[in-house]
Amino acid sequence: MFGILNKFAHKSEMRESKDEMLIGEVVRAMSRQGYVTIAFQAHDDRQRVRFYAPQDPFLNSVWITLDRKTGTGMVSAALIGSKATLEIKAEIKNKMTDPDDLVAMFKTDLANMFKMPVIGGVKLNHEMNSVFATITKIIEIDNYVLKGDAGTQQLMSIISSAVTELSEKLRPFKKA
Amino acid sequence: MPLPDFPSADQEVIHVHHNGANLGPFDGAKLTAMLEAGELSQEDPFWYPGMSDWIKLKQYPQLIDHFRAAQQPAAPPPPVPQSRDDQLDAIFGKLIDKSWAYLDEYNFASRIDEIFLGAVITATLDAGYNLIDLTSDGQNHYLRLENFDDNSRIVFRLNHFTGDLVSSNVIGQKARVMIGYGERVPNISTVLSALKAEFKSGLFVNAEPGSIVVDADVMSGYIYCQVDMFWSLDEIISRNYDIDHETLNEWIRASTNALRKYLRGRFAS
Repeated sequence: MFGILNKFAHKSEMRESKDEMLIGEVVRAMSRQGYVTIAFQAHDDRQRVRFYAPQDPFLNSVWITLDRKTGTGMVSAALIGSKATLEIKAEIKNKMTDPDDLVAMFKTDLANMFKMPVIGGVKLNHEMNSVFATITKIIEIDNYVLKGDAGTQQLMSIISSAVTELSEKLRPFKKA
Repeated sequence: MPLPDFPSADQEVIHVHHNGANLGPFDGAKLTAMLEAGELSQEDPFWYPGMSDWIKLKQYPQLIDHFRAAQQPAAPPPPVPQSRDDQLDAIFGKLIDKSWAYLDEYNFASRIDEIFLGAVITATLDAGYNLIDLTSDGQNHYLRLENFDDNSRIVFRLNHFTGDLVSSNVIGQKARVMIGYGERVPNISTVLSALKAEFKSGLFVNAEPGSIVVDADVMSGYIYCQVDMFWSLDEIISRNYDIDHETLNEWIRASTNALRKYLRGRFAS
């Protein structure tokens, strides 16, 4: 009886932990690409990690947010799987010192304030010295966790191509 | 560990331990030249008067930067501002630049715990574990990891208490760390025995370093042994964000190895 209870509890725990497993693999894979973690915001079904790129002269940081929508319960996992949104946000920083630049940036800050993010599309946002580009994708967590290196590589290919796409959108805004 | 003031570039006071031998004393120019020629390594520990202990060169890249800066020819003077308005803009620009430099220092001091946490996740995943729990409020961080091959678990809690520039510069980057090792046990009697030990552990208001406390989870059938320590985060993370993964792996391996031996010795069935 003790063994059955334990196995049930363990299975349930593993089902609930798939998003953490995925974030763990993302942290390790990003570390191999030279990023360091500088912020964690972790809640039950929502994990956000901010990565800093110390050696990158262009990008300042990348935010990865995994928001699990389904699959923490046995029934929903069996019926619709473990769906989640993966938001990737890239940030460049312009350390502006010219008052004229600050005035110009203030106008674009206001213009971007009320834009809404779109799934699959890139959203640009200026916030004083930073310019952000964000893209959101819907993923199936089960396709990437407990699949060994192949699963992690597949996920990292999505993240890397998203970071490249976001960087291209940000390039015109980077000051020399 | 905070360092005393760096020696000037012409002071022959720096000793380096290389390949089992103490070399020096060197001045700054000789030290940088030997590093560039590969005659010394960033892994070599150094010491100069006023330091309490030897430290690896790679942990203080600022020392070599300091000597290299001394060797640089003086920068040319900035162009003369053409108007009073330009002059004021230039002063404003310098004030902002200095503020960015301060903010970088401040950010590093306050973020080193998150950098460390990421390094712990990487190290434990490399050792075959999977992250199954992560909670963080920015200052208190908690990880739980499981190895799916042998069902063992590692728990890791980190509380950073030198997140401001003043305290980190005075005593170095310190954190209270709790590391735990857990195994799933096959019978209820072992879990009950661990629960008794957990009750006794609860009598410790503040566990001191080296005191191993026990935690038991009846539902999942896991028993954990945990130990509190104070770790110097700047021994692992250098100011230029380099991470000494090798040393961190050794710290985690040594801690979990000790806890595993304790757990199996105490609750052998």
